[in-house]
Amino acid sequence: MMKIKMRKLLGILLSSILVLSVVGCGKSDKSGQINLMTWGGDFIPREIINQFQEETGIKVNYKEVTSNEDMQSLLEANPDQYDLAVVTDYMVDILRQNEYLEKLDKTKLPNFSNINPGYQGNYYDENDEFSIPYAISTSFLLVNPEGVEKLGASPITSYQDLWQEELKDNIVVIDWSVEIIGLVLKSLGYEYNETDPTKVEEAKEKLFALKNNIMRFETNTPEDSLINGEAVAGFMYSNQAVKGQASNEKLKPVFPKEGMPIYIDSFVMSKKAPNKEAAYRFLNFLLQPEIGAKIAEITNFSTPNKAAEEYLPESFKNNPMLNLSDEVIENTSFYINVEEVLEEYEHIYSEFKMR
Amino acid sequence: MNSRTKKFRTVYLSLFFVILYIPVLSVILYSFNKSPSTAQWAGFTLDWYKELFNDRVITEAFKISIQVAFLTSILSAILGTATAITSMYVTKKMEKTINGVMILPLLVPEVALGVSLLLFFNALRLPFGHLTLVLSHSLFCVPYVYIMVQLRLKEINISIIEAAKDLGAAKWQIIRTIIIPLVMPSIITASLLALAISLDDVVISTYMSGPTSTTLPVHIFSMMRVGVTPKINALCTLILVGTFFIVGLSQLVSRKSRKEEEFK
Repeated sequence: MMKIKMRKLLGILLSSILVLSVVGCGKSDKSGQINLMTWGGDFIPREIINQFQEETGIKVNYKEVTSNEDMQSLLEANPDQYDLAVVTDYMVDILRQNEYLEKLDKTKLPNFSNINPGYQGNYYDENDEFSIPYAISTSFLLVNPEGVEKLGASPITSYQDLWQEELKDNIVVIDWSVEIIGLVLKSLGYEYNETDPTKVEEAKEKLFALKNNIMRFETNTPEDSLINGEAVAGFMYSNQAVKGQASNEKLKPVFPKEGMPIYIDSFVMSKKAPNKEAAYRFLNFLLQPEIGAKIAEITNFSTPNKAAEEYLPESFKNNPMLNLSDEVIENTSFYINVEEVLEEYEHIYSEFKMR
Repeated sequence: MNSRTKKFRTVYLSLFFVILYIPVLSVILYSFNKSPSTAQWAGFTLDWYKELFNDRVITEAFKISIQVAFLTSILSAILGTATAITSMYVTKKMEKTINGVMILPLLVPEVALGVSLLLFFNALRLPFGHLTLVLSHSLFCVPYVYIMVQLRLKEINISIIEAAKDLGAAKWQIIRTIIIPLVMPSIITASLLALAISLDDVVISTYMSGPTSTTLPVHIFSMMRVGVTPKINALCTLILVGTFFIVGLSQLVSRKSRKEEEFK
């Protein structure tokens, strides 16, 4: 009896799989399309993708994901399913070491010469063989100078100034261990992701001293606390600071003199990409100056496309948060070896938040 | 119960629900806010709803989510009910084993489940898309159906079934004409629950969707990098209304069946 039941169950299961596969199929023609994977929303604006589709007839399938790590799992499990992905600097390094990336053929990318050399040759891809910078972002302080003055604190020009007692319950920060401990390390004059135990211990103590001044940990909309006046200073990502200033002109960016983190989100191609030719056409299309300018304008990320600068609107060009000056760029550094320090930092950070 | 405890109960409960629903209410409120930031109220507008309906990406993702949720609820209703009925006809020991195996998908962390399903379906060479989404969602929806239907099965008066047996009904006949009609309300409630759970899922959907089948929750979460627009508040409001509708419907179904039973 048992067996008959099981067989029936199995029968139901198999027939439903069959029915569903019929529903799911019908997309075997892969020649005229490329599969792209990255963050969603308008990270790569649909407007730009539509323009490419109209010009070339190549369809772009946009798979949206939430994190670099998701992209890594998906790409490593299905390298022949995706043509292109946009990942952050450190992930380029990981994927390259795991040998999932195609060495890019620059002869198929004549527009690559538009890329600002300042964003090339970084640690994750020394010879620019595997990646093309797409979007540049940083984190820095957004400050309400009037508010700071009212509290009786001296003007904020560096991370060190955040420790002033007058700023009690007036600071908002991104909620991530590596980011906040990085801020403390920089304020002590050290580098990001320090592993030396004595330096980490020193940073830990200094971090705990900051606790009283922080009113909110917020990763998605830290700028809101400054707009509505709950906080007078915030440490946030550049696109959030841009949004904050657009809502409240009193807010001013402060590029801390100790240095800032930088993130370079870059295009990479899967080694087993099903449609490499079309992928190259798409990359070359995105590297055009006019397109680069339009992308920067829509996304609020700085463009690595040097030639795009003349097509940027005045408001973008005159915005120091978007059009980063050379001295600001020189004062930035990457988060390297995050995996190595993450566990220790998370531990310190959770202790810090519990206090 | 004296009047003081009664008062305390009322205050406690209303406080509880107010705190529970304030975030939900603020989403609804801000979906009508003119300013794109939640920091200030700048006046009433319906623009975000207009933008929402003009957003092809969101409508496409929504369509996929609904299709997947619908198929998932049907598939998990069939599988869950079949297993629950099977568990009636096996030994106690076997029933315990089935119970354990059924609950397992709920205990495994979603990320682990997602990655292992990714590797499994990959080995089977299944195309990632609707098919993999429905199969994986069913995996964690079936247990809910199973639990709910099984609870109902336990309530059935055994003498009805024994009477049918005495009168010469075959097993299949008993299942079809007695058991299934009796557990139908539970099946319907459970499949509505499966519908809601499937609509909600982010983690597993991230791994299971193919290049052309991004579901709505995944779309929303993937927007965090660039920043979420108030369009999403409008969308959440609509989904909330939809969810309340579904929940209300399932309540109605189960209440109706209770009443019918009382009459008997």
